[in-house]
Amino acid sequence: MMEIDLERDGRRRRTRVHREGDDTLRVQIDGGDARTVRVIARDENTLLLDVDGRRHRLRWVRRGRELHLGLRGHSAHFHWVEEDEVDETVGAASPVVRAPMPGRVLEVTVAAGDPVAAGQVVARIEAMKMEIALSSDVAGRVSTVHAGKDALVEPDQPVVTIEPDGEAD
Amino acid sequence: MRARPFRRVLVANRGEIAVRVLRACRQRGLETVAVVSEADRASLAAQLADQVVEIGPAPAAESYLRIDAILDAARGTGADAIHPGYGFLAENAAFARACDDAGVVFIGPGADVIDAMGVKTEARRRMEEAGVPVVPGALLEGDDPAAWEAAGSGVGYPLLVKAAAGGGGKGMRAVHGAADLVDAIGAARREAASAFGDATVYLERLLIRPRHVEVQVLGDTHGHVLHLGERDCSVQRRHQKVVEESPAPGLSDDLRARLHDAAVRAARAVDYVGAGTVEMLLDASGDFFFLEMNTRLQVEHPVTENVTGVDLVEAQLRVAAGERLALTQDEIRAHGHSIEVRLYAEDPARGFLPQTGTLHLFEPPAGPGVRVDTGVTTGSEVTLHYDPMIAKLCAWGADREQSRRRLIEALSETTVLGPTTNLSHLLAILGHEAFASGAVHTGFLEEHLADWSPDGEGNVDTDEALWLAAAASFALDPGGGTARRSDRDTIGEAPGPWEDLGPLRLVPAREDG
Repeated sequence: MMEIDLERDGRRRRTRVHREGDDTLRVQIDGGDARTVRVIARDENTLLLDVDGRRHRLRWVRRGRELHLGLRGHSAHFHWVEEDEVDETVGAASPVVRAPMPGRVLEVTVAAGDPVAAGQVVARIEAMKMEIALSSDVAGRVSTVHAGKDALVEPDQPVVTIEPDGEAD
Repeated sequence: MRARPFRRVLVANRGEIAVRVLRACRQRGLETVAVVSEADRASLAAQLADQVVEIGPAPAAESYLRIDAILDAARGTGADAIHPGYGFLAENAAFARACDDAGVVFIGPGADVIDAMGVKTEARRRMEEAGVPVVPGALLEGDDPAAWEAAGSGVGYPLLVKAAAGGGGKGMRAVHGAADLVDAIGAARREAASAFGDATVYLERLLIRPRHVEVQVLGDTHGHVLHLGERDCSVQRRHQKVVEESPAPGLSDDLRARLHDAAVRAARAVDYVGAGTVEMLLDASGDFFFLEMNTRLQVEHPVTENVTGVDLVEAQLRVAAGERLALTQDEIRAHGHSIEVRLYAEDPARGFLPQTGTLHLFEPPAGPGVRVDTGVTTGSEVTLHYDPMIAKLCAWGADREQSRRRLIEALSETTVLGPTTNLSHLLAILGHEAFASGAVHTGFLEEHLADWSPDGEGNVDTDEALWLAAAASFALDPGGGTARRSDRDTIGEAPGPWEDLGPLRLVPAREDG
């Protein structure tokens, strides 16, 4: 069992989630009645749920910490609330290279596993008609490339994550 | 309009109407030119045109309203005709005149007709002469409050003070009794002076719970004027149409015929050429009055196309080329019923404030009788520079009820993720029993949906558990398991699509099991 905080359209809700089997969740919101939710299928933009025996086809898009859901002409916007809602990367060297503004990825110059020096350019994006080089704050090895060529990125969206030197594998 | 054949059409507009016109041109084998602002470089219209000319920065005043830049673009591309769409320069007589002077066919009526219909007092005079009923009214001349009050009593209360050069509700005041008249006129004159540079106002009787009924007309350069039936556009919010339909529900055959006749008389009175609309107010007693004539294609033209089978943009192109209208009045029949709604990026929970942002996912509906007119796709931006309309969604049915039900289902299958939209409000209107019964009037939203909110009872929206469960399923991802992630940012036991967040560690608030 776990508890998560989801903020929907500005209101924060404490949601308890029990996992029952491979595809079934028991969901209880703010101490109310529990609902049984079975995930029938999920693929890009589609989430097919069975909630208390009734099927619902939702459309979804995720952008960073934001989750947009649509159902039968209605929509909801969720924000994933962090433990302390503090970005640990602010003011410190970050192993995550993020898009500074909305734009399109022109190229990613590294691949997972590549060694990276501090200050090395790892990607370029086009934003507001400018080309912006994104460089790594830290030296290390590329652990994840989050966005490929031509991907559209939002402000603060991770593009490349570096595993800094000195951290154990 | 100096009608003559042309081969290359420049579309002086943007968004869904630019797309609509470009398609019609291509269907006729005409070459096409789109003019775009910097913001619309990658728009659907820019993708569909044969040639694209960038005419300036995003603000309309520096691009879509620049007559010189648009005519330069026409010269540069060899365009010999210009379609203005609606809005922007569509009813700008100076633009029509500039096209004439440049030797380019303006696809619309002549500049003198635009002029005559654009000044409301002049339009009223022409209509009265043609025997078209006009709302009791009086033009105010001079600064003598006693004369104003006399004019007010002549028109009768309640009345509206309106700017003579105006539109869009600016310089407009409702007055319910003689005591408030002088103050209201003063305020309206100040507003009219600052908005239009002309302080002239007039008084007009305010009808109670009237319906907005308008008649589509079509004229050619050979002296033929036809009507294509009427539309009811009564469901409005702050004078902006929200739902439009054809035919207007609940009219007797006699009333319908009188409306059509009046519209044709109105169009004939100005030798109207092209597609135009005669807007009327219909009061509860069945009296109707001329409101204004729009000398252009209307936003809501698709409902008329759906029931008559006439392609209005194609007809505009034919008429502008000097051809005769292909149909006679007897050949035009309304078949079935069609309803259109305007899907906007606006937040009904916050006073319908326009919303901006990226359309992360836009999936228009489909199905029998469903028509979608849009200029955007997934990934498009909605900006503050232009009208935040995302699409016009339209359904045709064999009768009004089938059309209504088809449109409800179409809206339910429409997805817009990103900016908040009025989709749930549109569903509330179409689903309301008063709408279903056809009892529409211009105060419909105030009377029936003033207290409506997206979180109100009876909405799918209120099933908070469903939404939260859906969101929570992304955290645990019980069905998934293909993705991998580092231990560091694990949420629950299984990986989920939130994993891309990486070391941001969007971990559960507490994990105790």
